[in-house]
Amino acid sequence: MLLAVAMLVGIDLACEGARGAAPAVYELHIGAQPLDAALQEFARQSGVQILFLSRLADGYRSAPLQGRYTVDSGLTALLAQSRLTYRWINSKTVEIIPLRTAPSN
Amino acid sequence: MAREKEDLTSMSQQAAYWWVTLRDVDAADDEKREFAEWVTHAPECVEACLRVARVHAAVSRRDVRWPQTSAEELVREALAAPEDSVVPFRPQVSRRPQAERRPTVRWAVGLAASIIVAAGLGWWLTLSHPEQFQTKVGEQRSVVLADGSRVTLNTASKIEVRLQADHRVVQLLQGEALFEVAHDAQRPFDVHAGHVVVRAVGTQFDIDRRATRTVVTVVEGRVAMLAAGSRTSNLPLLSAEERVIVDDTGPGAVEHGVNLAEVTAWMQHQLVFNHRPIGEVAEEFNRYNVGHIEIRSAALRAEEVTGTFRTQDTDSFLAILAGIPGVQVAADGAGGYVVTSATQQ
Repeated sequence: MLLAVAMLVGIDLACEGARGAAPAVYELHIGAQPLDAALQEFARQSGVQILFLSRLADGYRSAPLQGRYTVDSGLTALLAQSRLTYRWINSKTVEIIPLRTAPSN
Repeated sequence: MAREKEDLTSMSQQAAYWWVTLRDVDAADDEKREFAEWVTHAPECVEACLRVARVHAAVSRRDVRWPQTSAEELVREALAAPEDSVVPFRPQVSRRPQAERRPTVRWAVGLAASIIVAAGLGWWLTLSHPEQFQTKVGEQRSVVLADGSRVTLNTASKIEVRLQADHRVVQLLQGEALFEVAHDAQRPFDVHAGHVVVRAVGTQFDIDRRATRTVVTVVEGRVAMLAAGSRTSNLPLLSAEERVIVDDTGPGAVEHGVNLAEVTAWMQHQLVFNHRPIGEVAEEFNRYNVGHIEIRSAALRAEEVTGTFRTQDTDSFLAILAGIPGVQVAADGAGGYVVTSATQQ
């Protein structure tokens, strides 16, 4: 059982390493709207997979996002007004999490 | 088209041309008139037509042989065809002034022409025998039907199609499909899905048939819904962005403002879920993947999530679950996964 988890984590670390040098840049057009809808739109336009506990985004609205962004710079901008951040799960997946539980680095 | 026909030199080629043209139930009146003119031109035309029709029937039986049968025998066979396949055909040519042709000959040729068309229609109906299309787990497939409608099958789905002269009938036997219906006011397009029949003229809609319920969502245009077995609709018309869930007790209330991106995401091989319990999301993944996810913690199953995933990326979804404190993901030894939670049961 623990082996399986270790295996999954292992895959994640490998992907994290492979993500490396040149992050892709996307032309994004996301209007101001409830944060959860904006994150879904972000996933649609960038192709990155996103998952979060629905209640985390309740009550937040996003600022509009227009222009060229990487996944990192785009998510940072979208989440700027919230008490949320994100972490990479693997090279194509991010999870939105509360700011205080984010890794300190 | 006229030039094409001139190029068709042999009698059998011409007969084949007409066979193909008239199999189209929407053949224009002037095409039918032209055919009548051509077929009454010589008895050989009648014979060639019958041969083509016979070869066609033989092809569909995988018994391909050019018939050596005499014209008389072919006519006898055509006459013996089932009565319901006989449709009266009155060649327009008979209204034209044609004084020089002897009436009895004209009658005989006219009868032969009507037999050909009747036999042709009969075979056309035979050819419209139900066709089945299906997908395996994780597979998707788009099918363009003979009427121009397109059906896209989602994972593990099965349909049976029967296109008739006055009706288009599809049985959704299992799974989910998106229907983009070619407009034809004369031929309603009915999809039967368990307890419900969805009727469209020209529109787009999705039907998701599950074990205990069927979800009908309209993407574009409008559809009528009928209870299975009834001929008239006592149910409301559904418009775009509207959805009805039908179960054993009948249809529920119409839901408005449905998120169509979410409903049709599967066509881009994606799962889009908004405020959906993790248990339901796992079930969605299980539709597309042979290796099933089983979540043993009721509390975890009930937790609502929002997100966008590729239908086959179970691994990334499990990686997120495994990151939740107390949650463990283990292989079940049969290609699937068991998710347990130490903190909540």
